[in-house]
Amino acid sequence: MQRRKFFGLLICSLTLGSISTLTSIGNEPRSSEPRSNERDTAHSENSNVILVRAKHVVLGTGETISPGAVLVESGKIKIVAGQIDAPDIETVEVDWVMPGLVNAAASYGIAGGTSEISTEVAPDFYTSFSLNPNSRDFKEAIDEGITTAHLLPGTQSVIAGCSSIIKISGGGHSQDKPTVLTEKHGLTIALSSDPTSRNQARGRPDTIFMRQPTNRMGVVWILRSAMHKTQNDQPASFLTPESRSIIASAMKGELPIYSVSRKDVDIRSTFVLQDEFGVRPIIIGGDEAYRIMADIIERKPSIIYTDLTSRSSSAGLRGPEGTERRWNVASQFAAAGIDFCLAGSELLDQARFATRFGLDRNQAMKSITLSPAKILKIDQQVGSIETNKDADLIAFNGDPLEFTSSIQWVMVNGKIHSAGSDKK
Amino acid sequence: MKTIKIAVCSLVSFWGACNTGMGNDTLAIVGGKIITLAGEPIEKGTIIVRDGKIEAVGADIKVPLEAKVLDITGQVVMPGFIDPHTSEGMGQANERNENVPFLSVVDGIDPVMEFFEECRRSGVTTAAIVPGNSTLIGGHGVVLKTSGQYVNDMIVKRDVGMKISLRPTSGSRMAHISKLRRELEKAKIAVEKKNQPEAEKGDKPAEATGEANNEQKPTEQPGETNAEAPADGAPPPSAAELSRGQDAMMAVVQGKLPVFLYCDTAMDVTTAQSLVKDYSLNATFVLGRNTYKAAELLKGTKQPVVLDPTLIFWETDPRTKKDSKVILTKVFQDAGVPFVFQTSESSARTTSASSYFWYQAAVAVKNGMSEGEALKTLSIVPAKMLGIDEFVGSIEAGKDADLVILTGEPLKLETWVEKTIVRGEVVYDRSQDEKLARLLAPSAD
Repeated sequence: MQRRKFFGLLICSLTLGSISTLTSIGNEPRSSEPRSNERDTAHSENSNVILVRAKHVVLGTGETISPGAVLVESGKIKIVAGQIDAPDIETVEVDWVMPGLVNAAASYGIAGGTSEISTEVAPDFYTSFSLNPNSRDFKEAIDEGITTAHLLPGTQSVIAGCSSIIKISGGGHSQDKPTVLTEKHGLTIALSSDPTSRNQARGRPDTIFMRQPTNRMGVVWILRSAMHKTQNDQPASFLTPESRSIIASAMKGELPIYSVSRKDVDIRSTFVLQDEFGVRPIIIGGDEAYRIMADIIERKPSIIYTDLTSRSSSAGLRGPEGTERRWNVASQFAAAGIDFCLAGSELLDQARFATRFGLDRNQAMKSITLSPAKILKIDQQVGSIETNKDADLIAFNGDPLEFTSSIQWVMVNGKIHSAGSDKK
Repeated sequence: MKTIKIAVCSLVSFWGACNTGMGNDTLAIVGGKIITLAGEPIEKGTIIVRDGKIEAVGADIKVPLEAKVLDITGQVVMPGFIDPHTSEGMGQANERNENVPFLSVVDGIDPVMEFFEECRRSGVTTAAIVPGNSTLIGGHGVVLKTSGQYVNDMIVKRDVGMKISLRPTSGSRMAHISKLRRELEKAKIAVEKKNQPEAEKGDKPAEATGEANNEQKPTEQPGETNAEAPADGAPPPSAAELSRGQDAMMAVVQGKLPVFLYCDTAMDVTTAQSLVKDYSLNATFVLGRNTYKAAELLKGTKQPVVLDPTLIFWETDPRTKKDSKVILTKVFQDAGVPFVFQTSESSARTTSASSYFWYQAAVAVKNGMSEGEALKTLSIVPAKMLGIDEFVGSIEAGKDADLVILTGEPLKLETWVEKTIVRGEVVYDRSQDEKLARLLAPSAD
């Protein structure tokens, strides 16, 4: 207890820029027994404190401090400033540092497939219950600089289940397992052709694929009937009490709704639901949002834009579901003042390409850090380099947006995972 | 008959047009930084292009009066990029018949394909188009310019190499390698027989060289050779084809015709090396990504290897469950093996970054290669590898004027290909690129 107090004092003095206290700790003689003990404890506390000095500190808020320093204590960011003097604290010098990336549309470590195909309405299926903490996905994610992720269920069902939010700490070793921040975060619905993809209108009646929906109308119908029946408390064989309570809390706005919609028609369908039930789904996908920009500007939905992640089948012209692709949708969102973020695999490269395709550099940095944190409503904890947030940092040997810059290390909750240890 | 005449007429007139076009044009590219890849970059240099060739390059070059001046102040010019190995630009990359040394991709090239347009858009001016990795002996590859209306206008080198793949497509690896060895052996015997003085030939007992004999006179015994063709509907090769195929294989075993030798796994590298030794092949190794485990075996090779398009990937050891990240450029650089890049399908281009050569070079730089070396692997290294460095690969007087003008330093985030020049002609201009403009439009149309 006393130690903590003492340490708080230490930080205070740091903020004031007074070095004398610190220096005196450093100068304590080693010889005397009790004192050396004291020093050790101070030291072990000290190992909890890391000062990161960088030529450039990208805050994630759209601002960059050059040069800058970040003081990390007990896994949290304590001070961010142009300069911090702390001669006795373990100091790490890097070229660039930025907040850990937040991937708002991921499926890391979900064991045994992400989709439930036995039922179209599965709100009470949770991604957090099928996490494999030893999955390689977490290692790959941390290697890419991703420290927080929103895990979505697959989109083969119309109401696909509950997403979860996790912090990634490297995976593989028992002390480094991913930690779940929110077990039941939001309800995922698939307003797209995904739930119809395996179903057949005709065929053997005894197969699982002989089921609804087989087209977009069917998708919307299933969704609306589930919501109607929940709203009016009507009986429905496909709704268990738990399903009902989840859908109900989503409709009351207690649980965010994530609507996977890529084509313009599907985004419009999301708006129809919005009008009918008074919900405000967050859009995941948004590939063809540029076609209905007037609507988007009017309704200002939050958009988790994933088109930059997907491979295209025709010279970058067509995306998933045959969407007609544009490369600079992100900068259109930015220009229109839409809350958007980039999400999906190769997140850093997405931000780089978005910049190449016209997005402002600061916006690009924000779109993979603070913006997704805000959309997920976890910006109190992660997403930027600000006091009292989790110490999730990525160090680079150059401008993070350049293709030639590489990650030096990734820090999660104040602990550094050095890159290169597993590299061949 | 009539149509042929018309075709010939239009061909001749087109050729004529090209010729006069080139003859009249002297182009001076001034003001930009020149990365020649043959010495130090020139900060503000001039390139004089005449008749499709580079006439002069340097810092203090006088611009001839008649020259059309292209001022690229603030921009960078490099030698056009060279694709060292691709199976795009033709309809189908692999054959059902697995032994087709008589084929040439020249017959399958479609210059209208989007591939060539994508090449020009991303600064690739020369491409080695080679049969796919799933045919035992796949036929001749060809080196083409990426601009032209007819394949014959585009050819840089017709016999760039025979494609041989060590990846078994049907049956076991043993059988696959055995078939290959048999073909190479046949060719070797044929060469030996050809080199024997006439008198000796008659003395030899027929049984000893029976197989080779059959092969030498395929016209007499077409039935024999049909056994090689699979019975899945592919027509058996004709006698003429077989004889052409044999000539090609004879050139292969004499080292006259290079070989693109595809190795799918690390073990294939050892096999490939013994084939190279036994049949004195002049081989370029095309490596699948799992061959990285054999990188040490390739130490000391002068001829660059062709890397898999996926330069970074993860592996998990099935028993220890240990995960590891493999960076191909680093593995081969550490082993001291020179390499060139491939790209994944050009059709995947958006943020599917490995479909761009500049991105591949950036990955190498990110993982420890010097930028100068990485840039060389985009042009002069593949030019030497393909044996076409006399014509292309660097900006030097006498070489073809195949140039790519970049809006800024290569490998930088916001650098785009501004113009691509093939044989002195601008074949891509970003300001005229409506497709790109549409993709990058600030609002929907």
